[in-house]
Parts: sequence; C-alpha cells; structure tokens
Amino acid sequence: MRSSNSAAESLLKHAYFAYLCTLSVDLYPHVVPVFFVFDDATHCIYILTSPSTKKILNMKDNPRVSLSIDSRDPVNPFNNEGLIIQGSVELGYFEESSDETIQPSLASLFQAFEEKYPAFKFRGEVGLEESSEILVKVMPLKVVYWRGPTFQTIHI
Amino acid sequence: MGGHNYIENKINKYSWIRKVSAGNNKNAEEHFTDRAFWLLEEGFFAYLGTADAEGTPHVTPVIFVHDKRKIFFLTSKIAKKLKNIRENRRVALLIDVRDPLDFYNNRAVLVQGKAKPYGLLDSMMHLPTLLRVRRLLSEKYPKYQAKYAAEKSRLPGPWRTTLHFSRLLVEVSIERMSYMRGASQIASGSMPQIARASTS
Repeated sequence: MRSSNSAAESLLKHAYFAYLCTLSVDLYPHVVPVFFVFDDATHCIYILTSPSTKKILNMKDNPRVSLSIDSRDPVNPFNNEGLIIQGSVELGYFEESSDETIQPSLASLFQAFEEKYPAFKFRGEVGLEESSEILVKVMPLKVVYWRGPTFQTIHI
Repeated sequence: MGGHNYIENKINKYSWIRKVSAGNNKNAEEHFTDRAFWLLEEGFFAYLGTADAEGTPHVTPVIFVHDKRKIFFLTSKIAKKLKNIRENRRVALLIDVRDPLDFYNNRAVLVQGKAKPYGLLDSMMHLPTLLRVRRLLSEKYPKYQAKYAAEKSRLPGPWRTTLHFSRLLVEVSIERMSYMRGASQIASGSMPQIARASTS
C-alpha cells in the first residue's frame, strides 16, 4: 500500500477540483469547487478564480478556509481517499521574489494551471479587476488524509 | 459536441422533471428548482461545509439523501463536523455533477441550511423518518451498503452499525439553494420560493 504522503501528493497533483469552504460574517459556510495547483517548493495551494464572487468576499472578511480534495470509488467505499485541509489565505498577488522556494513566479503558476487544465481558458491577468483572475494562496495549517474509514494527520 | 447532451440526457432520465418541465408557461424560478432538485437526486456525494463558533471552517464529503425539504446524512459521533454543528448549526452542502467532456457544462447546487443531529430521544420520536432515511440510503448506495456489510470487521467502532446509535443522523432544513453551471451562478432562491415552485 502506498504511504499516506505519496497518496496525498498524488491527490494534490491530479485531483481535478478542490472544494473550498469559506465563511460569511454570520458564520454561514459556503462551498464551491475551484481549480487549484499545489506548489512543491512552498507547500502552498494556489487557486485561480473570479474576483467578484461570494468566496472572495468571504475570504476578505475571514481568511480561514478549508479544502477537501478527494478521489472516489463509486463501488467500494474503502477505496475512497482524500485530504481535508484547514488553513489561511492571502488574496491577490504578493511581492515577487527571486527565490521560488519563498514565492513561485506568476509565470510558473500560470504555466502550472495551463498544464493541469488545458481545456480552460485562463484570462492570463491577475488582479482585482472584473476582467482578471484573482490568485488565492492557501497556507495549510492542518492536513488530514483519509482512506476508507481511517484518518490521519499528515504534513504536506 | 456531446457535452450538452451528456447532462441533458441524464436530466431526462427523471420523468418527474420532464413532467414538471413540460408546461410552456414555466418561469425561471421553477426551472431552477427542477434542476437543483435533479442535482440532489443525481449527486453521489455532497461536500459538507461546517464551522466552529470561532469561525474556522471545515469541509468534508458525505453520502446523503433528501426529501426535497431536508437533506440527511450520517456522521460518526466523534467527527469534527458533528462537533462544529453542535457549536454552529449553519451548514452548506455543495452537490455537483461533472460533464467529463466540457467543464462549462458542469452543474452544481449549493444548499445552505440549519443542521440538527438526532439524539437518542429524537431518534425514538422520529422513528418513521429514521426508517425512511435508512431505506433511501440503501436504495441510493446499494454497493456501499453491501461492502460495509461484507467487511464489517475493517470498520472502526463508530462505523459498525449503518444507522442509529453509534452513528448519528443529521437533518438539514434547506433554507437557500443556488444553482451553478460552469463557473457562473444561474439562479438562487430561499426556501419559501423553492417550496412554492416544487409543489406547483
């Protein structure tokens, strides 16, 4: 059996969607599927989405989020596996760094998105304007890997 | 491309949707409600979002059934989601159906509502609901039920009985639903509108 860390790595690389949970000010949860890539160097998850959405409004008020990234077997529930991540976010694009272990370049992030989602047309601009995408950086604080009925806390 | 047909063909399998959708004077509200309920019917998993009283969210997949007013799922007594629900009854469930060929044709419904775990007393008082949910679950997930029955010894204690007292039933009263296609929200409505449309 694969170790939970290599299973987690595979989910982070290959799962199509992440399900992002944000909270409104009155603590109502909101869940949506999002495109994401995982950056090995910084151990952060990056999400690309439209700026004028409920999830962005929620994250401006409360940067704490949760993500579920999973893979499903419709026949055997013992093969279901996934990650539940709790963490906090930074919105928009942050300072460029020449050291990619601190901050991947925008170009490399876009390339990662384009390779993972070849069918989707990213607008290629990052900012807060209606016409651009907004980048969300998720810094994981707690990660739980589960397979079938067993759960364990891991580090990614 | 076949993308459009993939979802439309699935929708058309449900005769009750065809029936409700047949009227020419159908308004957008009813249309949205049909599609949203279709997702509740077709969706295999729901992503359940909960939050503790301090505002830390948590999202986890669950299997679920519904009766158009309420959504039901089971939880282990030691689960984080249950702890959160006891602190804050507000929950969200995202249920989606993906078109394997065309991302822009994916459909999802976001349900928001208030959750209520069934304690022992609730379970006794609402035995018919409990039995109905048990039947709905075994109709919707026959393969899962069979696997669980066959491999009971692999299950940790809180999972061993499929329903009742070591796992709790949680009921979510639907307050609001939003229907999404591709990346855009198409329509949303609060429960009074939804109830009106679904009974008309």
